[in-house]
Amino acid sequence: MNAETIKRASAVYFSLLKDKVIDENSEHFQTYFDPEVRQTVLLLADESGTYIIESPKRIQIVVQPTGSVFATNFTHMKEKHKQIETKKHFHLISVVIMSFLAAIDQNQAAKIRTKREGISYYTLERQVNDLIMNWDSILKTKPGMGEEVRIDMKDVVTTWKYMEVDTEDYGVKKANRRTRIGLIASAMKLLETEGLIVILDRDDIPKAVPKQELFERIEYLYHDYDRYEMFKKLMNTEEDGHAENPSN
Amino acid sequence: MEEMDVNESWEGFAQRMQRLNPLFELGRGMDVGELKPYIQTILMQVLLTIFYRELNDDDNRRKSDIRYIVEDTIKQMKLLADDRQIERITSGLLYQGKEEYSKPFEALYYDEIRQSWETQVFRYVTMDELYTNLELGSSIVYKLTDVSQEMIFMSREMAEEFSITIEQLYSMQLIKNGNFRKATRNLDNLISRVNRLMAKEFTFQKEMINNPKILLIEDKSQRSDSRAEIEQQFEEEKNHFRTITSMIEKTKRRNEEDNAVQKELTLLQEKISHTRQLHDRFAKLVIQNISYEMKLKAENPSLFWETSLVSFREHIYENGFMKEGVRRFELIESVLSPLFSPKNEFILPLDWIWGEQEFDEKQQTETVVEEETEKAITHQRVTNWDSVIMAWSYVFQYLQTYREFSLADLAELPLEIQNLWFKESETIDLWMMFDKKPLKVQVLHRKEETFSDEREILLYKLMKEYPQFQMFEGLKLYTKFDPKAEPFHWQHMKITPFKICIQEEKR
Repeated sequence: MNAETIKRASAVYFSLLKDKVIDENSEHFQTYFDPEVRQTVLLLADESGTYIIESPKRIQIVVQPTGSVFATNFTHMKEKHKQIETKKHFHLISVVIMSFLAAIDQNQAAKIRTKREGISYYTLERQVNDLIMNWDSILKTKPGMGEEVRIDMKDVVTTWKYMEVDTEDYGVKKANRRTRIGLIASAMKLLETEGLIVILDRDDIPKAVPKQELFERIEYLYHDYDRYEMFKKLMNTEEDGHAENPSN
Repeated sequence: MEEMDVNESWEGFAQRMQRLNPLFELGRGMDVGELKPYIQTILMQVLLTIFYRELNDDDNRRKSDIRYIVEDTIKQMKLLADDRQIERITSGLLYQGKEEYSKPFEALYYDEIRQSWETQVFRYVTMDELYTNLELGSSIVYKLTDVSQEMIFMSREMAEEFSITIEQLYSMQLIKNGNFRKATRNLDNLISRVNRLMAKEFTFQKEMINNPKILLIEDKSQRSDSRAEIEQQFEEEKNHFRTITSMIEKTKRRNEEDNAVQKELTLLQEKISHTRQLHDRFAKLVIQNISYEMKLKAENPSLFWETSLVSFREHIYENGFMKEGVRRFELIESVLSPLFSPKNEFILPLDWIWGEQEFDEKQQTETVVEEETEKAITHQRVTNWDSVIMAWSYVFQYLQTYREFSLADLAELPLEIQNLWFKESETIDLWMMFDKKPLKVQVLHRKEETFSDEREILLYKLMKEYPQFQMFEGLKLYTKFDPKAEPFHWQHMKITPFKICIQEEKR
């Protein structure tokens, strides 16, 4: 690895840090695909706990699930919800994002359709509700199972269940975290700020339209078998430290 | 201006309704029992079948044929019908009410010019004189009326159902029947058809370049395998154009004397040459896209492999969190966290970044940014003292306890209160007012009308609502620059960070 390569690679890496996404029109895009530069950038990325996502049209940088020193819009959101009262809202926001990802993570045909039509907040509300109701029945049918570590889950289920879908009061409708739609708006806002979705019909029935950037991130992160194994391992190690179902 | 708009909405209203009424009336009032929900779909398919037979010079369009079409359609749609129902549907397409009277259909429409309700009388099918052998007194061969053709064209506009070839055949049919004006009109359909297909092809090209994987799912993906076939189809269509042109030429020669016909034919000729040009352009675009597809497939085969064995939806969401629940939310967080890019406002030397990143970020007062953008949704500015009072009550409560309050402290209040705070712009306007000059609180025993200072009104209202705040009476409120806080951005304003403090003074 010579000095010139390192120089070019850092230029690419730092502009990625600055802009998050480099598209094919950027001079850095060409530079990146020089094999030596690419190797160096990937090394830098790995050392700093980030992933580089490559696609024919752009490269993106995201943080790794563990070991990144970087703050993100997501960690900021978490920071802001540190108090007990607000923490469950953050959990719910995470749940909303998960349901949204599941909703758009479909076959190619459905993908194109959601890209054209978007997903309305109300549709998303139903999706989240399905998940929460499922959790609710899990909690009911297996009450003895790891009760103490399920505090979060129980809290989230209860909060959601007793939350109004929407408010009649037009003035406080939007940014109100005390309603489900308000929570969804916050979650979608986060993805919008991240440049992953576009929000349409804000004043009517808002719809979130996923951008190509989001599909590329999903594909890289969750469609890759090795990374899936890693997530699985992550989940299992987390679980190992806690109460196990004796029947397992 | 407004009046013009109103007129525009009425323009051609009666005509519109006369196009729509046959659709609304189709199958209405027919007693077909459990087939009722399907009747319109069945009838539409029957009409289409009759129409295509007409285009193809097929004379199997007698009542007995239509009955058979009805029966066949019902069977194809996987429905069941007895003879009585089939009879009813057949005659119901032919006449209104009892078959014996052979009555046409009637519907009301509002005539915007006469300003009165009128009755529209129409039929869906009528005798095709070309095929009904009147001399032999055989049975009537039916064809669609203008009204039902219109229905088919309307639905085609929506469904883009007809191929270019059918449009061409139809034009030929019309020219053959000497219906030149209608043939010209039909060319408009053909033009709009070609334009639409062309636009679609453009979009497809754009999408294909951006995301080659769509080739896997769009039907068009198969066409590259049959490029020869497509080219042949275009060739055929070109031939149709040639036939139409020569038909027009012949007809022109035959009607040399008739000026009116000549005029219509010239118009038709011009239109056909325009349509032809468009068609050629379209053909070129399609061929170009096919070549591009083939190139993509040849050069980047990996783009088309559906490699992923796992998906977020199935493996993480449905079989994971949904089925198993979640023991610790950190799990969800670690799954979601890599969706996000590292945040980094400044480019620092490498080792700095590792160390300073988190620190730098926390300094930014991000709280407000998010609220602001959410607020942008509402666009309203309401003078609502109740809400303002409510928001400020928390500030004064804080002041009571800690003797000072900075906007940065707001971030520590529950989220609901933060939301409340930014709900009314007046709330924040009042904040700015405290920075003007110190305020000696003397409001408790004054009348509301005598206040000139908004801050005094605020305090007055606060004390009335929450008696515990009466302890502020006689105290002095002043502001101090808060060196710890970052400048605050709110609705395009940069707010210097300051805190409100209490100065205790003996009365």
